Amino acid sequence: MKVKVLYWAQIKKAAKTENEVVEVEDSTTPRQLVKKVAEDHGDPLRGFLLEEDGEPRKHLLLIVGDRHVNWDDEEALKDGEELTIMPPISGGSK
Amino acid sequence: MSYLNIPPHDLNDEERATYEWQIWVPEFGEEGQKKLRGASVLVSRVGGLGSVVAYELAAAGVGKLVLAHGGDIKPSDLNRQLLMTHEALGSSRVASAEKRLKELNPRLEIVSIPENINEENAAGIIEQVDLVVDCAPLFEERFQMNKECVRQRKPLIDCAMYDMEAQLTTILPGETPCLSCLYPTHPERWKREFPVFGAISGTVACLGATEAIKTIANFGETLTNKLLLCDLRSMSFRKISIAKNPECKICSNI
Repeated sequence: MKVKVLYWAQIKKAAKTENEVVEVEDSTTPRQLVKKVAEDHGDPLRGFLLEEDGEPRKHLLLIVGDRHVNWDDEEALKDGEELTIMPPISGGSK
Repeated sequence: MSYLNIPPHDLNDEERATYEWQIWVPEFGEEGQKKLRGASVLVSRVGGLGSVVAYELAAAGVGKLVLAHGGDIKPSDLNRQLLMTHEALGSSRVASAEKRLKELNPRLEIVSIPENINEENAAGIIEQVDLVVDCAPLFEERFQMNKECVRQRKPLIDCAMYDMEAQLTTILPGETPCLSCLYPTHPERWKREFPVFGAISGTVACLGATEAIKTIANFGETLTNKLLLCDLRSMSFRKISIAKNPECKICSNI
């Protein structure tokens, strides 16, 4: 099946694209998709998405469609769904 | 049922005249204005986001603002920190902010604290206010405010931006996810220098001030259990449903 991945803020630059369509196996979870795109792209995106041990950085926000999902959410993505990966952003001034 | 129960403060004739046009806003009215007048808000910090949040709340007639921000004004502040002036380069940020706000609203009570929020001062500063608007660049400060707002059951409007993107949510401890529900671990890769136009931080700040006004006066629909995502490069806005993390170390026990 095909799913769309949308990148936000700093990781958009690391991914060198705002979004991409990715072919994945049925039953792929959001967590598995993050690991896949990290490994497919390699660094610098990999370093933004994964810890040293290869596990996802849990300070990233995962959004499926218009719903935030937790990292341990095992519900598989559906064909045509969108996964947004958001790095933490803050604001203000130095 | 209102999360905040702010005792209304009587308005004098000058205040009725000043706020006449917003008192016409349906569901807000004079009762809403009296609640704003009786309310106190912490804005931390008063940079690109916080300057405009504070200015809008001062313009709207909030009774008391507590401003927390360390350091002096630098040239690179002036593209977005609208309470700072060229003339005041090198002097205290909160002092400049207080002066500008008083020029707009001399009735406003201001407590200026020339420090950023930290573990030592957070509890005492947040005890002085009804609501907090988080405009801080560092997650240490953001998490500290979140933790203290949860402990004191105070609403927290969380504003953030990067480049031409922004996000916003209104946290009501016990009723909505808190910042630690969204970010269970500390983000280490965040750099506090980032690309930004003043028009972007100002836009997010106006949205944050709007959330504060609605939360205080208890009208409209706020971004509770929602995260607003704005991409101002394409002018697209999305409202995302967010939920409490049952394992959150900060708010799962309330």
